[in-house]
Amino acid sequence: MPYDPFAPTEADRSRHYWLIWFGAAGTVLLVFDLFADFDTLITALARGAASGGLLVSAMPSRTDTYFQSLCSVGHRWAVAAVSVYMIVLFFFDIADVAYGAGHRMASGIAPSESTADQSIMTDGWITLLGVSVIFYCGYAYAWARDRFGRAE
Amino acid sequence: MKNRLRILRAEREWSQAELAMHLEVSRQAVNAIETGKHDPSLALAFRIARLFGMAIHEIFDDGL
Repeated sequence: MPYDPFAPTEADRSRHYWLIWFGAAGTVLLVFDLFADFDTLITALARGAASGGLLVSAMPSRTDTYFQSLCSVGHRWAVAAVSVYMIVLFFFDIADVAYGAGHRMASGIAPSESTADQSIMTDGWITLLGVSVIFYCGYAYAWARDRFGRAE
Repeated sequence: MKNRLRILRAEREWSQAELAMHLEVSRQAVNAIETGKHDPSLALAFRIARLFGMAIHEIFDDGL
């Protein structure tokens, strides 16, 4: 194998595991920020950490397969959450179609805005934060399973 | 998957970090492979076999 002076060292690879935890901590801070309204500096740092963790998980070039396998659990959980989220919106819309038809027949006026659009579920920031939380939960689950689970 | 990685590493008196350095993976990955929590990719299995001068099936046991 040719010598690559820029090849990641063992320490570089191990650092990725810590970066994910920093990302998770940043995401937790951002969730609390929804209620506590932290200082702008703290929010900015938390956003940086949260996005850094997600970015590391999505860039496999300098990571090893074990790290990728932990991240893939988080990615699967996040995609599953997005699908559940869209299914719930779908049911909201279906309910609106039925409700709207009934409302129009009764009063002659259709409701102007859908239930889904009025709900918290179409708030982009909260949705993204929720998906990020679920990614980190999936990663933490895989990490804990390997760390505390029974060895073969 | 069961394997002899921990024994082979101990024979050479390497730490997990040293073995990880040879294999170009993280220490956490070596630990996960040693404890059977993670199955290495085919490329990594070849690297492990080449490092210890053995065949893959002499290191890894799929239990079949």
